[in-house]
Amino acid sequence: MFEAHPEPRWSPARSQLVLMWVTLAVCAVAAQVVTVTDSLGLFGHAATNTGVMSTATVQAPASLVVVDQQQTAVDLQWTASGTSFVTGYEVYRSDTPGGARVLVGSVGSGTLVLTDGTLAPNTTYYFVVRAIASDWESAESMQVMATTLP
Amino acid sequence: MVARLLLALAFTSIFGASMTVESLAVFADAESNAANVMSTGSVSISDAPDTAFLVVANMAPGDTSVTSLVVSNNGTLPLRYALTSSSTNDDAKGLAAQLLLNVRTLGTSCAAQDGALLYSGALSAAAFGSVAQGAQAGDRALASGANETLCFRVEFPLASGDTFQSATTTTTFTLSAEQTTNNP
Repeated sequence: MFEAHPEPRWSPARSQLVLMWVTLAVCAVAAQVVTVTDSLGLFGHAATNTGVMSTATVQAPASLVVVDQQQTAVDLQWTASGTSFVTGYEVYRSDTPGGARVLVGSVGSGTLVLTDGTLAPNTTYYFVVRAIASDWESAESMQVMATTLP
Repeated sequence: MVARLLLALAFTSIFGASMTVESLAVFADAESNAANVMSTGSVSISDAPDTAFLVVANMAPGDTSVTSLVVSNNGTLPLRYALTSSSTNDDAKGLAAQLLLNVRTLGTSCAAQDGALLYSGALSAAAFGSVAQGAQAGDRALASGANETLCFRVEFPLASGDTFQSATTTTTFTLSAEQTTNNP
């Protein structure tokens, strides 16, 4: 009679068999993935390019100065904004440094002087000027102070 | 009895030997045909210039700018392509949605703006055709080795408010191509 010898629980033969099944399972999953990819996998290619667009800044006029002071009037002058499409300038006045601005008047881009003739004697005022370009306006120029004559 | 057995063995040996000779004596031949080559085609799209082609700085309200982009099929297969875009604003001013873009094919010239209109609208939504598989409305077809010029016209509307001063936007245009062969 033959004596029954139970096969080892993890013989080399069994491990190879398990390895084979695992490999087959992985291949099957991989094949499914490839199949999915194939269904969408027509040849394609892409190219990109870039555009960068930026808008201008309206530069403030510079060198605002008081060129004359009278009892009720002050003459102001400034240098042109460096922005080519400026359409004009607006001059503002306040009673205190940095205080609430009142529009004194506006001029076209070719004019760089303005007279404020609505002032009280012996009073100090503060002026700034802005460049205007259609609907755009620049930042304020440096503020200047003027005191009318008594 | 022993003699019969020996005779039978002798007969079997002789007959078996003759059968063996027969099995090795079949005529055979083989013929090969070499150099059978199969290769796949390619889908390859490119654009020129390959650097940023739409660079407009210091725009003032009412400004327009026209530039061109040449799209080429460098592959061996015919292709169709679509254009998509992605815009980012470098600030919170939303310039990409304010700028108007026209994309046309080349007519007389890009400056003439008389080619077929492919897109007209905000820069932020620039696109034509579809990247969905298969032929879609607006897709552009290019034969292998062919190219076409697209004209891009950007307009900064005159009525753009003061909030658009010093604004910047960057747009990436993507040309996505797919094979047309066996892909209706």
